[in-house]
Amino acid sequence: MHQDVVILLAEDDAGHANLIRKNLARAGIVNEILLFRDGQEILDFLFQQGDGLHREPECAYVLLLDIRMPKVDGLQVLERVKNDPELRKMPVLMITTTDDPREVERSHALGCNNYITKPIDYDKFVNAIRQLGMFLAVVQVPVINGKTGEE
Amino acid sequence: MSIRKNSADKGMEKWCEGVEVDTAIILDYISDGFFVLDKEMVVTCFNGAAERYLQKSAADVLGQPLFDVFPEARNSIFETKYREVMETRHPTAFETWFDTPPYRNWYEVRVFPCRKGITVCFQVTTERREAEAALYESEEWFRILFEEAPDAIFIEALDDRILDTNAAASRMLGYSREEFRSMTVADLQAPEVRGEEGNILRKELAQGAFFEGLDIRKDGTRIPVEVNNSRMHVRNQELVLSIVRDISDRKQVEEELTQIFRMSLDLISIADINTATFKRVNPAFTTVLGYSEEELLGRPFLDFVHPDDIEATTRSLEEKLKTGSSVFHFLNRYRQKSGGYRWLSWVSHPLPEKGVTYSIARDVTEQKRAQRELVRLNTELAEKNTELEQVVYVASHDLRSPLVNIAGYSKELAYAVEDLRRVLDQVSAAPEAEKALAPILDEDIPEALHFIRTSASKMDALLMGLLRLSRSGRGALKIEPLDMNELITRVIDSTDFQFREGGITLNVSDLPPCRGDAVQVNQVFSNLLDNARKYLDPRRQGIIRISGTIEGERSVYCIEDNGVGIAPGHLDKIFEIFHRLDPSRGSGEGLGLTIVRRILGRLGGDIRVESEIGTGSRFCVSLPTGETEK
Repeated sequence: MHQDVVILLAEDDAGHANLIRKNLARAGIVNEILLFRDGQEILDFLFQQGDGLHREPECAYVLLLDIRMPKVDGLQVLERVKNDPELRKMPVLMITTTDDPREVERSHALGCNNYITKPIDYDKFVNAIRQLGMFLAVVQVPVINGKTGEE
Repeated sequence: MSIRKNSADKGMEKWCEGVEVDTAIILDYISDGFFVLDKEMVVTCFNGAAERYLQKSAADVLGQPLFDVFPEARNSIFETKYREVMETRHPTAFETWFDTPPYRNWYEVRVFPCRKGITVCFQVTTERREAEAALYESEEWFRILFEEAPDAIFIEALDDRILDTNAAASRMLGYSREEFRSMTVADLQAPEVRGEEGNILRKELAQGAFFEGLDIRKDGTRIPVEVNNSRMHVRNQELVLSIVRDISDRKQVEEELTQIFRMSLDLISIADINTATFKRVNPAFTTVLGYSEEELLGRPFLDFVHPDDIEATTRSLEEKLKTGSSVFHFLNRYRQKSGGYRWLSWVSHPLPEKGVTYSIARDVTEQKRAQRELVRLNTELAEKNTELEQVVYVASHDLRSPLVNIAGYSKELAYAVEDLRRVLDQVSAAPEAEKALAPILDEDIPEALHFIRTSASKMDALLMGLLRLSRSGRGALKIEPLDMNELITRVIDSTDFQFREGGITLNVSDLPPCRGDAVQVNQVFSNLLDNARKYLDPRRQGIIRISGTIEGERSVYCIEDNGVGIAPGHLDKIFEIFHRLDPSRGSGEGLGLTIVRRILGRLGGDIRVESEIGTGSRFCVSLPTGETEK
């Protein structure tokens, strides 16, 4: 993955975010990581609304998305993203504690690119993040232009 | 005419000697047979009627002794009587049946002495006598009819006197005919009905009357009667013919029906289908709706129907009742006098030719309320259930998130401790400090981290179990016939290595089919086999038997092991959530049997267990058989 690709991590649990960040680094992923604490924050960023940080045009992003988040949950974010003709090019990876078949199915139906569960067993967790790192290292991430279909 | 001709042919002098010609002509014309015998019984005169009656011509008879011409009559009553008059000179008359052909007839004979001998006048009376006999017989017949009639018959004078009665009257009221004849009609009427319409003195009836009354028997008991009176003229006399029928049986049936009609808790009515009004209603109408009978009768019943039900009620009346079709379980609401409404379920049977319909309605208000309540409770229960599953789901998910951190950071902490130790190894610390640090770094911290991690993973296992349990209660079931031999083979195949590892003997007999959801039933038997395997006794060769039979409408499958068994006191607990008899035995979160029971509950199945400590356990699962519940 190109160095310029920015990793967007939407995760309400700071501990999880930190563990993910640590293990991505251990897997050799040194890209910039932006953290969002709920679904609304990431939507504001992507759709360039609200007071917070907005995304830059002509930039490549990968979105790591937790499902259970305050305000707007991950599935709603995924739906909004995949319904947008421009944003839908962005790879979205669900990273969540649940392996509920219904949520896995729903995520895939909405068009997520990968689905990773966060195992309690830390060795497995580390392994999962390492594989995520490997995925990110090889994936071609398209540049997203400034306009979104919703605006 | 033939007589005249006859007389002319034979000549006056020839048929009757010594009679004036005028007299002879008259005698020849009369319809009686007439002949004269002299003292020697020789016929001297023989008229035309005699010729016809006795079938001899005067020419053959005249001058001959009578009994030579009619030898059949010798020594008969005729000879006796003739000789008697001949001797005594006293006229006589007799009537007799003569039985010798061709003279078989009744004869009425008058014999007079005359100058020459005797004169005989006779008539053949057979026809008249037969007519009389017929008349007699017919009178007898009517007498029999009168006597044998099943109804009591009274012939009454207009002043109320009883003139005649038949046997049925005596049977019915207990008086003899003679006793009746000294009584009046009023004597027979019960005082309580005397004077009622129709029970007035019978002479007052203009033409006749038909009414029900109450008569008193001789023994004082009362008897309901139906009276049919008619006026008749007999020989210038006005009489009343009164036919009285005992209607005790009919009255009893009517009373019983009336009793049922009055007692019924259902609303029974007769309604006019053309005017859509009530003709008759039972007291249940008053009980249920609060209106008096008077308030209902003659009123259009649509006046009482809930506005929203009027259209359907009208349609039912027009399309069904008026065309002669019965109505079953028609529901509508009737307004009570108090203003409320009751749900009524109607069954109605019309008789269009009479323009009425007979209806029974049941008040199903409470039933409807109970139904609604049941639906409400079911909905509530379903909501609660969904909510509970949601709680379990959310809880298990949200509780796992912190666990990721606990496990993750304890491991990170372990890495940190390793780093710390490496740093400490590189820098030389004071011996006291190193001595003090060693147990902390090598024992205390690793021990603490160990407990944190194992507890986290145990909690994770419990949460995963909860999640599985919450999932087992949802999802559509696909109920289909199951080949249990095939299903058990699949269950065993998926766990085969566990059996081989343990050196376990597995005996499976032929299993009957059942109906269920393949995935769920598979789960049931996987859990049961897993338990059987887990709780085998390590001191002996493990044997697990699977067998099945059909008991009535159920297929029963038994999984029997020779394992450690379950103490009687624990049998109730094994199905409890998170209950584990022996946590040291292998993995598991104590949900296997809870899930089994829950699945069987959804599939209409059941499970029971028998066990003896030290001998083994036997779990029997029952499911609907394949043959039933199509």
